[in-house]
Amino acid sequence: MEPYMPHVLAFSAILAYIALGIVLLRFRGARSPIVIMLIASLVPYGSFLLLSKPLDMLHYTATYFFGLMCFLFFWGGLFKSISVRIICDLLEEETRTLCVEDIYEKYLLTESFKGRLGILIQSNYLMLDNNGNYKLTEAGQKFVRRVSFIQKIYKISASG
Amino acid sequence: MLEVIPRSLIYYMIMTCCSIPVLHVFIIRITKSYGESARPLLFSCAVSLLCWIGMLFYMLTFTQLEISTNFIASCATSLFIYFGFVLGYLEFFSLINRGYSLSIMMDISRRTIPPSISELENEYADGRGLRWMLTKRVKGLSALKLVTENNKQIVLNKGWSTYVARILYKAKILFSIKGSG
Repeated sequence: MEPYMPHVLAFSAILAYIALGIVLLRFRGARSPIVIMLIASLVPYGSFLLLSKPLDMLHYTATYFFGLMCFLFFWGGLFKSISVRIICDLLEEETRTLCVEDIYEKYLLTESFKGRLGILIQSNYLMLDNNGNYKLTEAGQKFVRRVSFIQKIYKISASG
Repeated sequence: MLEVIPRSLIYYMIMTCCSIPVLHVFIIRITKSYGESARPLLFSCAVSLLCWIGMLFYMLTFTQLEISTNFIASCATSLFIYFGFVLGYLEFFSLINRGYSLSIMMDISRRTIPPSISELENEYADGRGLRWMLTKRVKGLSALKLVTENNKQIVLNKGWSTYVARILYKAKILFSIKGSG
């Protein structure tokens, strides 16, 4: 086998992964898109590996890993970035203009901030007490302790 | 032995990648810079890549190694490992440094009395408030010359900014992303 074949096959596997991701995301229902994309990444990797024996695993895996990281970096930005959301909302406007206050009220506070609080409650990291105040659950406290430790290593004083 | 060398380039690169977080923390500590800054991260990534390139030149000079297709394939694999790792590490660092949900949880953990939603809004990111985050993001977009801020209004710039916005918009449709952020 030519030395560059594992790279060609890995990039083909990445294209197959993106196509599979597009299809699966359309029919995801209420399932988490992140979980879908992570599980889906194993399917083309394994399929191309089985179909093209013998294959240099190191070259193939490294190239697939690179393609996967590039795609997840881009897709993660599309999915979670507030800046991307602002740009896309601006494009939807006829005048390509948005009021800062509108972005804050409609999107950031109502959709995004309250949405994140909802996700954190769903993930069992937060809970609402009887007075409508937010408290960390035991799992949330454990998570915060771990992150605080990492932030101390990097001397990060405040995130956000 | 010469057959083994191209493969060892890949192993050196794996070791180089492992050194990036160590070097990053070391630079933050010795320069007394803030962890939030991106400079120590970029510097450690650049230094580790230069070390690997130095190793490559050393091998080419002192081991009579020929530039074969096998050698080029190994160099390509090494660079794929490097850039894949750097992207993953950037994502991890950005999450620790700028994580939105994470910041909410950290704010709650700092308080002795459980906060209400309006308290969380006003005290987001260690007391800076949610508006600070929006200002930071808008300033970032302005610095990239994607938007212009004018009289409390944000305007999408013409030219390449609109093309970037169109690409992102179409990609969101393709991947069935409704909303985001």
